Amino acid sequence: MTGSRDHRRFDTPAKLLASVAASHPRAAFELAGRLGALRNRIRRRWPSAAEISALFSRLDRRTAASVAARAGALHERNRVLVHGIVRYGLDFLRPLVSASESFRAMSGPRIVATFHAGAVHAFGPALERMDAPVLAFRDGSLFASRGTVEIVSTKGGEQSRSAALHRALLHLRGGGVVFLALDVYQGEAIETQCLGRRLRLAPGAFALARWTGAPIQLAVARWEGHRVLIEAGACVTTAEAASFWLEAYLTGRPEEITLGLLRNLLEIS
Amino acid sequence: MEEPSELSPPNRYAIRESMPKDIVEEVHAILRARNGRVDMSPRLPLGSGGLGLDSIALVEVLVECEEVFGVTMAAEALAGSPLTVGSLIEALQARVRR
Repeated sequence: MTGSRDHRRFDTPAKLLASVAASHPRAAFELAGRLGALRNRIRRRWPSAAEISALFSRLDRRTAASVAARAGALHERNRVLVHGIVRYGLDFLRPLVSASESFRAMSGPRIVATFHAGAVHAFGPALERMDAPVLAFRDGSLFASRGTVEIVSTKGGEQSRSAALHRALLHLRGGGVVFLALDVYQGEAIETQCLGRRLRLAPGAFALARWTGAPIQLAVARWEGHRVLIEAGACVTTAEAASFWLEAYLTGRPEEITLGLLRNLLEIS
Repeated sequence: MEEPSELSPPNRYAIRESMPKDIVEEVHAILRARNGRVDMSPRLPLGSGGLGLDSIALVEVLVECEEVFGVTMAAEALAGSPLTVGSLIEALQARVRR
């Protein structure tokens, strides 16, 4: 599906659009969406209608193609977003991100968990605005921002993962918020079902909830035009409940699936 | 006068402080309950190449030790070099002495 070399050719327009995202965010993200949808319709991939149909079997062929195009648009917007964060940090993004009242009202101790759906990279500004100190699990540094958000890397072996987990445990005990993506795991994972497929989730969030009694609050980030809305979802205690919630969310909004999550579900490397 | 059925946490704490050997035995017992291995050499890593505990099990061991000894382990406990049976006992002894 991927053809990563082929895919990389599309980095140039994404980088160009990212370069104007700070001064003209509306134009940059709307153009990115159109470019992604157009590319999807021409290339019939990233994702293909067949891949969408494989996950959302109730969609007819035409609707699946339309969803694939919108998922392609999401992918391109997210690429511009990531390039923009790399280039400008979170400065340009802060005015574009708003959080729902239910998200803003969250207090610690709490585990805020998301999936690779929608504008997953846009959580940073919403996390900065939370009342409680936030510890974010992250592979890279996209959330590197103001002092209220501390980043813990999940890279490395068992020892470094356990150090990150222990750090999160102490953070929750201190009344903080821990933010992480459930569908990113290294090493052991919890197997669940989502859209009839196997979905592996990171066990850390559920272990932290068990040790501390902190609730796991699901949350998603969604593009609304060139802006991003962060919304709180259900409060869950098990991996199965989290997958069930994701399935319901994606069934209602299939175009919110990212390529990463789609590949994860379809087990495409 | 009614005899206390068990030691209250401060008394338990005092006894453990004066009996570091007890820490060793308790830690060995906690680790054996997870792994079943009899040999608990101080150099034995808790993770890969030793007891083979995964990241969650490693933190669970710390949490269990915290509960048993009534201490809080520092964030540095798992940072740095791989945790071994000996380094865990040393870290616990340092916390208990405080």
